[in-house]
Amino acid sequence: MTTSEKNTKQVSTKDFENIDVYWCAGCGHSGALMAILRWCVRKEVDPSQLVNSNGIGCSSKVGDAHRCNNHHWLHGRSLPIATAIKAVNPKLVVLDAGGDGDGAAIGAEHTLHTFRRNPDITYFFLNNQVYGLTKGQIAPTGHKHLVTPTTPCGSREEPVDMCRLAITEGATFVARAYSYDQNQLSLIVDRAFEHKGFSFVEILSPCPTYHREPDYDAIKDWYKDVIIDVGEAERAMQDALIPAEIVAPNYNPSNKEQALRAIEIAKNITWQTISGMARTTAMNGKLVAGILYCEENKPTFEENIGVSLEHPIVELDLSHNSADNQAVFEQLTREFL
Amino acid sequence: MNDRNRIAIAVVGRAGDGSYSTANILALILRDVGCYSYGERSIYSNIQGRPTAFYVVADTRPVYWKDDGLDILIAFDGESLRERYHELQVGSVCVVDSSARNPAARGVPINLTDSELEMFANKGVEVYKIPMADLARENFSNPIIRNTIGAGVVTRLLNIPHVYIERLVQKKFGDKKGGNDLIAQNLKAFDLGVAVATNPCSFVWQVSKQVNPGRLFALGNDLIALGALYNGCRYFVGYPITPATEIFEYMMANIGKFGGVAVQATSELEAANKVIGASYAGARAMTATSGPGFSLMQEVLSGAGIAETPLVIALVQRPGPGTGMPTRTAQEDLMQAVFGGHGEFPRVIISPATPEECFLFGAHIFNLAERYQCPSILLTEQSIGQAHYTLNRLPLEKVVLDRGKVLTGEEIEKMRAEKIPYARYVITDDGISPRMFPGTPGFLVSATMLEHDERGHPTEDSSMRIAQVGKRLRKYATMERDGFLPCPVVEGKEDARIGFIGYGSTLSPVLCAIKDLGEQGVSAKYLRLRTLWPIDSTCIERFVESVEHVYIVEQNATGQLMRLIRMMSDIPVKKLSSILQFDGRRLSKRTVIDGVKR
Repeated sequence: MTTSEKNTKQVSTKDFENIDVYWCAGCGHSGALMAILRWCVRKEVDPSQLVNSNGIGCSSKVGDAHRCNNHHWLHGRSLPIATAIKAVNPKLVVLDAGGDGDGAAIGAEHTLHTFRRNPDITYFFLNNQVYGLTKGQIAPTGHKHLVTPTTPCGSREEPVDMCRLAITEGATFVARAYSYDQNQLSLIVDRAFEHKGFSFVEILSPCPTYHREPDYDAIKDWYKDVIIDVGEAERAMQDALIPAEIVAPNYNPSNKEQALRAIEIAKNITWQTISGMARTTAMNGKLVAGILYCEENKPTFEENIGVSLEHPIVELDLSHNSADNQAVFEQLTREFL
Repeated sequence: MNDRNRIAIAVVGRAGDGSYSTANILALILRDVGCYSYGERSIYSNIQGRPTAFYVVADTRPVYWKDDGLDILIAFDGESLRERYHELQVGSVCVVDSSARNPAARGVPINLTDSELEMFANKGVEVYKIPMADLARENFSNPIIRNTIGAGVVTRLLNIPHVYIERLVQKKFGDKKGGNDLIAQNLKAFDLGVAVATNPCSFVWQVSKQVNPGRLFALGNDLIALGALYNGCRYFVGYPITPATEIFEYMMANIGKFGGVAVQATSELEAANKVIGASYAGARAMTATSGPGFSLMQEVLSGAGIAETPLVIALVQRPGPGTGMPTRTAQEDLMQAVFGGHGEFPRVIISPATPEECFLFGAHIFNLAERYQCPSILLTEQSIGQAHYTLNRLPLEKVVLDRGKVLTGEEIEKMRAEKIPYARYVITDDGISPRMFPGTPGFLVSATMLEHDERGHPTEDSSMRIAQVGKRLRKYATMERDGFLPCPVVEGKEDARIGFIGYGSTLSPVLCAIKDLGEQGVSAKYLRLRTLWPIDSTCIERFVESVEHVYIVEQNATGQLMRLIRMMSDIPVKKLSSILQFDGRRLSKRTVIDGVKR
């Protein structure tokens, strides 16, 4: 979008829509996409300066649907791609939108190391607990006892909590949001993009087609029961289970231990501790949502490897004849003399 | 042995005992006196304790291999000496460390028995017992300095003027912390070595009269990295793996001087994927690996094939399968390089055989990757990557910087004015769609490994699928037309009776075999392939037609190159035989000659 166009026309999410993607009715991924597009509108983002790196699965269609530079890549490898793009051209704004299979299964290696490296990219981890595009098999984020085509008797494994991993392994912005709660999600998306360093945003994204919970007709109702806002004191008090220092309205996201404790305590809210919740649901505890952890001023990966905004790698003069290149090359050659 | 233009030295010891430094010092001094030095290692996959051998060959002509037989063997360890005994020949000189204690980890002192000494004598080998570790202990209270004493002994045996020693010691230690002490200590150690050795050689070694006219001494892997840097590689991602690690380390040490960055990945998967990201964004990027790492990169080859993102991989082969023998050499990954990755897509594989080619191909591989926008593999071997070579100079004039079809500023302005969107995968006659990089104001650049239309949007439309597959595969015709791929080289007499075909490090053993065969009345020539994919079948067919029989020489057990040639060309099967060596050691001349005689 050029400046002149911006002045004459009201920008809307339509301006950031690319091709139609076909998600199921009620798919949480639409909400995730919408939150990203709304951010583009609010900030009047220039799509040519934004890269969306994504992988495989229903989640990767966020990239196809988003009008910007789209790098649609192999299953689980979108983070190395995003990190490398940012490293050679830090002028670009780089976001990654991936699924639970991408980020927690086949590409978990990359997610873990991106946490500790802290590149200045924003990662939306779309967690719907299942592999939608291959028809509903469990994801590593799927809760214990979840029934899917590959766990017909219910999952026997504990799920991975990527937010907890992010916090313990050095991510500098960690948030969990619910794609149906656009207000909170918008707030988090804003903060995530503003944050300098790696922003990890887990978006709980209901899969209405494959994620089934026995006591619920609509999966979004299950999420309502499972999610607990980390800063929402009233509701927590109602549950009467979370110690006051965590649930205080002034929950402090710069306290790592507090964040980890909030995750842990929410997990321990089970049917044994609370009555009136559907038994199957409450078995696995709750998931805290909100900005869980934020650490400012930690050097980014780009800063650590010495990449400069003024002289990005993609703008370097590569010619053999440039005086600088020649001088360095001659010095290197002399080392073999 | 009687060839006075050439001398072969082995330094044998235990891993970690410093014998590598003796070999390195000797190689540098021999280069400095005006010879071409060549260095080769024969080591176990081990850091401390296993027997090692480092070879140094000096020749008045360029030399890329060791050949059989030794002129001088300097031994610091008993077991290592016994492992190498068979390489000694009539007239060889054997210098042994006769100290009572071997300071190396798991070191065995060299207590030669009378019967062993008799064995040496019967073989015509002169043995010199010098207590190098004891001398080092007495004079420096540091037994490791025996390595310099050893080097001193050899320089005396070879009549090398003292001035070269001084110059080298100055250069080697001058920049180090405590340099002056180190220089004094090492010079003293050298002199000790020189003093204890008389001049016992029964041959006369002709030290070149000419001082080194500015020749370089470098590792094959370093030359590949230097070539890459010269031609604009500015982003390198590596994962340590023998025998490719030196490329990574060279990049780590030097790429920053050009404004670039090298990073260590947590796997070869991450490394190759990061190359794709950087390449998409417009940088010249590269990774280097060996067979096991290359196995992990297969999905990236395939992705780069359809996304048409330039991908440069240096693949330094070692024996597999599995972990195989990490520090040894092989040519076992040709098939994986040619056919690896799912689906069908074009790719390029080139392979150097000389140090000049290591540099040139390290540079040229980027031109190929960007010109044809496909996976481009620089295929080499442990025996090249980890060999030390002497070069007269770097062939800089042969390097061009060619970034292929990239839309120019003018073209982009025109598109902007005419409101033409950018189509990354536009169907073209030559199969190549011009590139643009993300960040260009007003344009969007997509890359996708889903089948796509011209704009890069996913599609499963039958006619678009056919058009895109056709476009990608048309690159092969374009490559043939361009003549930009390194062409095969024929070595030997045009009218020879028999022919050899091979690539990479088979060059020197085959050429030496041809010389020996010629003396026995069999004339032969060698077709050296430098581009392994796409393979030049016309050239191969013509070569085969010109001789009575062809031997395809390679370092694997299944004849991979033979199979590839038979698959891609129209050649009578009866005219082809394989000569194979797959013991992890470099191809020997004997293997080649025996293969022909059989």
